[in-house]
Amino acid sequence: MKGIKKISCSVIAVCTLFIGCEKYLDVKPDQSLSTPNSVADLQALLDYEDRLTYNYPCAGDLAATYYYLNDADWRTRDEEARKTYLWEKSADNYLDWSYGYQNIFLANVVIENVSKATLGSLTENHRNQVNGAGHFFRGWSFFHLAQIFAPPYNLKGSNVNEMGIPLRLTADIDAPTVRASLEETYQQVLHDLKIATFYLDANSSTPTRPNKKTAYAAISKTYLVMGDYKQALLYADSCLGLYSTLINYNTLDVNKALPFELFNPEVLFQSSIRADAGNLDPSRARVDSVLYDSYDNDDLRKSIFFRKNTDGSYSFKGSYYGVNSGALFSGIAVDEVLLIKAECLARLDRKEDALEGLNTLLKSRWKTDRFEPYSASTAGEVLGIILAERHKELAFRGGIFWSDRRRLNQEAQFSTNLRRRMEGGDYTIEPNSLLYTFLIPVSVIQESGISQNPR
Amino acid sequence: MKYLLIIILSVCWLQGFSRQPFATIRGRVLDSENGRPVVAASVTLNEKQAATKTDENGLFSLRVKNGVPLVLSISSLDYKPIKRSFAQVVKDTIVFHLEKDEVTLEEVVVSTGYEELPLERATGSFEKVDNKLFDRQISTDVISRLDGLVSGVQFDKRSGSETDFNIRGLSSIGASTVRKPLVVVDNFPYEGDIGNLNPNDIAGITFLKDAAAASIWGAKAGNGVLVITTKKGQFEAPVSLTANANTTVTDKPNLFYAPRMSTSEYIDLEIFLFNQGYFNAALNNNTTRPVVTPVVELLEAVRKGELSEQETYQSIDNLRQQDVRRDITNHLYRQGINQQYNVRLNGGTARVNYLFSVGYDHNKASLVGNWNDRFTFRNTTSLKPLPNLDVQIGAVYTHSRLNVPNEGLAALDPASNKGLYPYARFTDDEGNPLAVEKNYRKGYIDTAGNGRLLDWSFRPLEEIQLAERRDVTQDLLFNVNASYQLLPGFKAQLLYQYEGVNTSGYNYNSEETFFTRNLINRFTQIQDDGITHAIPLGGILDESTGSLNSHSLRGMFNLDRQWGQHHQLIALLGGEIRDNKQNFSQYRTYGYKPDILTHQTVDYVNRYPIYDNLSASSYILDNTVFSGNVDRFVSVFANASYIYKGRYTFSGSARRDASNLFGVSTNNKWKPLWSSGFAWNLSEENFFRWDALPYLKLRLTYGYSGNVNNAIAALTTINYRGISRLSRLPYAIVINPPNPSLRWENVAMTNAGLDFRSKNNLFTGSLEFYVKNATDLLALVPADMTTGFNNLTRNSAKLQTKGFDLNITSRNLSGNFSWETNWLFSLNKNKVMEYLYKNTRLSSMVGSGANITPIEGQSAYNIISYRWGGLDAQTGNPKGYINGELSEDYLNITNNASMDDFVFHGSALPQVYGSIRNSFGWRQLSLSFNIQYKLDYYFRRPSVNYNILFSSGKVMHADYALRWQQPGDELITNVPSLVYPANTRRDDFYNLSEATVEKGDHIRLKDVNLSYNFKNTNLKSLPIKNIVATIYANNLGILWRANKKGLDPDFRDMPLPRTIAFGLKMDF
Repeated sequence: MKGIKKISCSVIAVCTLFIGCEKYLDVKPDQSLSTPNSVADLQALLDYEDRLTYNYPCAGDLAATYYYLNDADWRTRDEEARKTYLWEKSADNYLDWSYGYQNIFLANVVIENVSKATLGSLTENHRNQVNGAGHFFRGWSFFHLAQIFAPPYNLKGSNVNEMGIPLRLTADIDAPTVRASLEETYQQVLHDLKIATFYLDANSSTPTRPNKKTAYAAISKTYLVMGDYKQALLYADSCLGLYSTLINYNTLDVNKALPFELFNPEVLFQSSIRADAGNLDPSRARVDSVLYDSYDNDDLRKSIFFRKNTDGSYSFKGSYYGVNSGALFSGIAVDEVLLIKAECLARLDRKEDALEGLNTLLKSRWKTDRFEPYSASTAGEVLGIILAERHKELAFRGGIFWSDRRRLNQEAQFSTNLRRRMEGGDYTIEPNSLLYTFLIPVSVIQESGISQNPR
Repeated sequence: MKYLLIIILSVCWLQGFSRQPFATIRGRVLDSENGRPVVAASVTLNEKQAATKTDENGLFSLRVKNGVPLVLSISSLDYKPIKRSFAQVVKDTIVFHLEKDEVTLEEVVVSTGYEELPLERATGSFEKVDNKLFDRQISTDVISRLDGLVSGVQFDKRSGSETDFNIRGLSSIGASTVRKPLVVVDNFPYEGDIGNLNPNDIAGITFLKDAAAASIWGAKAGNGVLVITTKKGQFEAPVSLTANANTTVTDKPNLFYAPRMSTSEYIDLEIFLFNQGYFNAALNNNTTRPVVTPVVELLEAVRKGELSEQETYQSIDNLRQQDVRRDITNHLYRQGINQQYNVRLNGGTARVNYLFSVGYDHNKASLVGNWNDRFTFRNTTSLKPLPNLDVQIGAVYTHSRLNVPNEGLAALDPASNKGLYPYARFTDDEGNPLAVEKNYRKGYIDTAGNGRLLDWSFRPLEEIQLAERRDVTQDLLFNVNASYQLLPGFKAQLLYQYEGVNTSGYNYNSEETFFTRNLINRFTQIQDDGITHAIPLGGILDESTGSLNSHSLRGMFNLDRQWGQHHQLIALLGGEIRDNKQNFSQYRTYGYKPDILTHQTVDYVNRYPIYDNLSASSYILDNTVFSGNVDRFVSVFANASYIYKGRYTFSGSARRDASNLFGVSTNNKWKPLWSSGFAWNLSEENFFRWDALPYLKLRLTYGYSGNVNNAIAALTTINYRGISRLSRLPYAIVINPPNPSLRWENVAMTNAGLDFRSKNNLFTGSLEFYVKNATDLLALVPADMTTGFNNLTRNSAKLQTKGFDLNITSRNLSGNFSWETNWLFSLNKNKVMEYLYKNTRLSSMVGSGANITPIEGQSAYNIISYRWGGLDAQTGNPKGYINGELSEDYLNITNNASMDDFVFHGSALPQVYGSIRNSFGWRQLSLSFNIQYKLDYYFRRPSVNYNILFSSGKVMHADYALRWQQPGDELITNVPSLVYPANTRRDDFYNLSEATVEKGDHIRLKDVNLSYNFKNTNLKSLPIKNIVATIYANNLGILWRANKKGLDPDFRDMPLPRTIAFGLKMDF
C-alpha cells in the first residue's frame, strides 16, 4: 500500500504540471508583438512613417522638367533613374508600386480591424480618427499610384473603358489582383477620402496624421485631376474655411540653408517622395533656368527656394519638408489648396474671386510693398496667370508637376512638349504621349497576369 | 486528462508485481580496475529465471523467492562474465567486481537527454564523441571541437563562424536560427550562450541523427539533436585531482588572401572617374559636404589651379606604393593568444560523490586591444540519503568578460556606404597617428567653426586606445535531479533546472573619441553671442542590461523490467514544462564624466539645428531600448523499447509539444510526433555463426520530428518598433500578413543501419542509409507586390534528402607501434519534390545557393547561373542567351530568359564529405592528424562589380586587372570591360553567370595532434600519476582543391588563421 501512495503522489505531482497549461501558453513570445486588435495598435500602424509619410511615388518627379541633371551627374545614377529621366519606355519604377501597395495593405489592415478593435482607455472618438485615417491613407495612396501607373483621366469623354489600377480593398494576400477601370479608380479614391472626412476631426495632433482639412484638400486635388472644377472648388473652400494661414515670406531668413522648418505653418499634412533614386538630391538636381528666370527679383521665392551653385547653376533649398535631400515634400499645404481654389474660380468664370485668391497668396511671397496685384480682363487670361504661378509655387513639390502635365496637356492652349538634352542627344515627350503612364512593374505583370500599359 | 488516465493505468498494472513471499536482492557491479560502476551490465538470476540490468551507478535489484538458493550471472560487453552462488537472499548490497576483457571494446553509452542507453540496445542512429576524442582538440569553446569527428555532421564556415553546423543536411529552409540543431546539456536544452560552457567539463557528446533517436525531443528536433553530457563524480572512487593548462597561438589573419585591385589601379580609376565628372556633385556640395578621397581632393585642387599639375601627380604617384592592408595588419592586428587552465577534483564514498572543477580562460584576440576571459566553477554532488533515493545536485557558475575597443575593419569606412581607400595611412613616417577621411571633406572640417568646434578628424589608431566597450556575463546554472525507486525496476524521477544569465554592457565614448566629438559638433551652433551645445561636452555612455531566466521541470517514470527468460521492457513516460524569459534594456547618458561621476540632461523633445545645416534639424538620439521575450513549452512524452531474447528490439516513441506560438489558435499550438524502430542482433542468432564477424546488428527506424518557428504566425502580427522619426510617436509594423493556411513543418525520416565488428576489432563501425521527407516547408516565396509584400513566407515545398553515413575504425597495427584509422564518409543529396508556387521569373533562381531554388526535381540549394556566351569581341560586353540566342539585352534576359538560358551547376552544399583520421602510437608517443574532404559541390566566387566600385569606392577584386580592354582580350578573359556609366544589370548578369562559378571540391589538413604521455612509472618521485604533453595545430590548410584560382571554398573573405596550441595535463 505504501507503494501505491508513493506512486499516486508522484502521479499527482506530474499531473499538476499540465493543469492550466492553456493559459500558460497564451503569453506572448515577444512583448513587442501584438495582433492588431486594439485601436492603439492600429494607430501605431498608421504612425509607421517610413511607409505612410515617406516614400510616395517619385517617377513623375524624376521625369519632370523643373530640374535637369548634367551629363556627369546623370551617369552616376542607376539605370532605372537614368531611363526615367529620359522618358525611356522600358523604365520600371517598381519601388513606387511596391511602397504604394504597402501603404494600401496597412490601410486595409486598419479598415478591416477598426470596428471590432478594443478601445482600452481610448474613446470612440479615437476609433473614428483611426477609421478615418485608414480610409484617408488608402485613398491618398490610390490617388498617387493612379498618377503614375494609370493613364490620365479623360477630361472630356468616358473613363469607364480605360484601365485604372488594381484596387485592393482587403488585406487578404490571396485575393486576386485585377485592374479596375479608370473611372472606378477615381471613384474609389473619392469614396475613401469622403469616408475619411466623415470620421476625421478638424485637427490632428501632428501633420503626419490626417484630419478633416487634409481629407477635404485631397478630395479637391482629386476633383481637379478629374476636371470637376465645381467640386474641387467646393472642397478647397471647405478646407480653407477651417484653416488658411499663409507664411509671410518676409519673415523668413533668405540666407538660411534651409529656410523652412519641418511642419511649417502652411503644412496641413506631411509626406514626401522616395529619395533613393538620388536624381533630385540638391547636389545634383539643377533648377530649370527658364523656371528660375520666371521669378521676379522682388519675388522672395527666388532667393528662398533657390541657392546658387559654384558653377552658376541653381539648386532647390525651399522644401516644405525642411530637409536638404531629394525627398521632396508631397504632402498638402495651404498654398496649393489656395491655388486650386483660384484655378477653379477662373475656370468657372469667376475672374475677380480668382484674382483675389491668387493675389492673397502672392502678397505673402513678394517683398513687402513691392507686389502689384495681378489684374486681367478675361477669366481665360486669369487662368493662364494662375497656371503659371502654380508652376512657380509648386515646382519641386512631389507629384504635382507630373499630374498637372497629364491634365493640362489635354487642353490645347496649355499643352507642351517636354524636352531634355543629354550626352548630345535630344529627348522629347509629346503631349498625351503614352509615356505619361509608366509601365506596371514587369514582376507584377508576371506574378498576377494583369495587362500592361500600352507602349 | 488522457495522460493522467494512462499514468494511473500503468501504475495499477505495475502493482501486480509486488506480492509476498518475495524478497529483494540488491547488488552493485564495479570495474575491478578503477572502481567505477559498470552501467547496463546484465544480471541474470538462476539461468534466466529473471534478469535485469545495472543502472548508471552500477546498481541492480531483483526480486527473488525467499529461502531458495540463488545463482547470479553478471556480464557486460567489455568484461569477463562472472557467476556467483548464494544460499539465500543477502540483505546487504552485494558488490561485484568485473575484470576488463582486454579484447572487447569499452561499451558505448549514449545519452538522449532523457535516458542513457547502451548503444547495443539502440534502434536509432546515435553517434558519440567520447571524452578522449573530444579532448584531442584544444579550444575555448565546445562546438568547434566537433568539426570532422562525426559522420553526417557538416560544419559550414562560409559566414566566418566556426560553430555553425548541420546534421545530415538541412531539413528546414527558414531563417538560420530555425535551421540550427538543438543543443541539450545533460537533461535540458541549453538556453544561454553555448560559449559559456567550459570544454574541460564535458564528458562526452552524443549526436541524435534519426527520428527514433531524436523524436523524444519532438518539435525542436527536426534538425537533429546534440546532447552534451558533463563530467560527474563516481561513487566509491578514490580522490583524484586533474590539472591541465594550454596555450594557443593564433596567426594574424591574412588580409592579402582575397586578391584585390592594386592601389595604382584604384588611383587610375579615381582619375578616370574624376575626369568623367563623377565626383562633381560631391565636390560642389556646399551643404552636406560629403567625404571624398585624398586623390580626388588633389585632382580638384589641380583643376582649381591651387596646385601645380606636376607636383600633384608626383604626390599621387607616391600614394600608389601605399597599401592600407599593411597598416591594418601592423597596427590593428596582432598574434592572438588563448590561455586555458583547469583543475578538477573528484571522488566518492558509497553514499556521496562529488566533482569540483574550476577553469579560467583568457583570450587575447587578434584585433589589438580586444580580449575576453571566462571563469567557470562547477560542482556536482550525488547523494543517496535513502536506499531507494538518488539525488544529484549540480551548480555551474560562469563569469565572462568581453572587451572590444577595436571594432576592426568596419569602423574604418569613410561613410556608411563607402569603402576605405587603399592608400590610407594610419601613421606618418615618425609613427604618429594620422587621420583618415571620415563623414565630411577634410578641407571642410579643417576650417569649420574657426577653431571653435572640437577637432573633427578621425585617427583610427587613437580610437582603439580611447574606446571602452565591454560586456560582462554572469551565468548560473543550477539543477536538481531526484530519482526514487518505487518498486524494483520502476523509478520516479523529478528533474529541475534553473538558468539565470545576467549581461551588462558598458560602452563609453569619451569626449576624445570621434563618435562623441562628431555628435557634439553636429549639435553645436555658433552665433555672435557665443556657442551653444545641444549635446553637452563630456562623454557619451551607453549602458545595457540583459537577463535570461529559464526554468525547466520534468517529471518522469522509468520502467526497466525483465520477466521470463526472453522479455525485457524499458519504458519512460513523463511530462515537462519549460519557461524561458529574456529581457533587455538600454539607455544613454550624455555629458558623462567618469572621473567625477557627473552627467548632463539633454532635450529629446525638440529638434535642434545641425551645425552649418549639414543636415536638417534633428532630435537628439534617445537611445532607450526595451525588449522582452517569453518562450514557454509544455510537452508530454513516452518512450518504450521491448527486447525479445536479447536480440530483437522494438522501440516506439511519442511526444506532443505545445508552445506559446503567437498568432496561432490553441489547436495548432500542439504538435504530435512519433517514431518507431526495430533492431536485430543478427550475430546472436544460431544460424549466424561467423567468426570473422562476431557482432552484426541491423536497425530500421521511421518517425517524425518538427521545427518550431516562432517568427511566423497565421494571424496578422505587428511589432512595435520604438518612436517614429518625425512625430515621435510609438509605431508598429506588420511583420506577418494574415496566413490562415499556415501549417507546421514536418520532417519524416527513415533510417536503416548496420553495426558491425570484425574479429579482434580489426574493423568496427556502422553504415546507415536514410531518407528524409520534409513537407510543408516554409520558404520565402516571391509575391505579387500588389499584396503589399515583395515576398511571403509560406508552406511552399516538399524536400527529400537521401544519404548515407559510413563510419569505420580500422586497427591497422597494434602492439608497440599502433596505427588506427577512422574513416568517415557521408553522402547527402536533396531534391525539391514539389513546389506549390509557380516560378514566374526564372532569373530569381539565379544566385549562390543560399536560398532554396524551387525547381521540382532539382537540388534545393543549387547554384544556378545565366548561361555564358563569352565577351563581345568589339566591346567586351558579356553575352548571355535569350531563348537560345546570344544577347546583350540584360533587362530582357532578366525578365524573359527561358529554362535553357540558365546553367544548373549543382549543389552549393558539399554532397560528399567526411574525414580520415589517422592515429599512431609508439610507446608513450602518439600522433594523429585529421584530413577532411568536401566534394561534389560548387561555389560562386567574387569578381568585379563596376557599379559597386563606382558608387561605394570599395576596393574591388583583382579580376579588375583581367578585364577586357581591347579586342582579342575576349579570348583570354571572361571579365567584362569597364563601362561608364555603370550598368547594374550588366554587372549582375556577369556576377551571376557561369563565368564566376567554381567547383568547390577540396581536401584539407584540418589538424594535427602530437602527445607524449609520461606514465607514473617514470615519475615515481613525484606525487603525479600521469602527465600528458600535447602540441595541437589547427586550420593547417588545403592539400588539394579543384578550383584553379587558389580559393578556399569554405571561406569568402579570409580563411581562419592557423593556430598552434601547447597543452599539459596532469593527474595526481
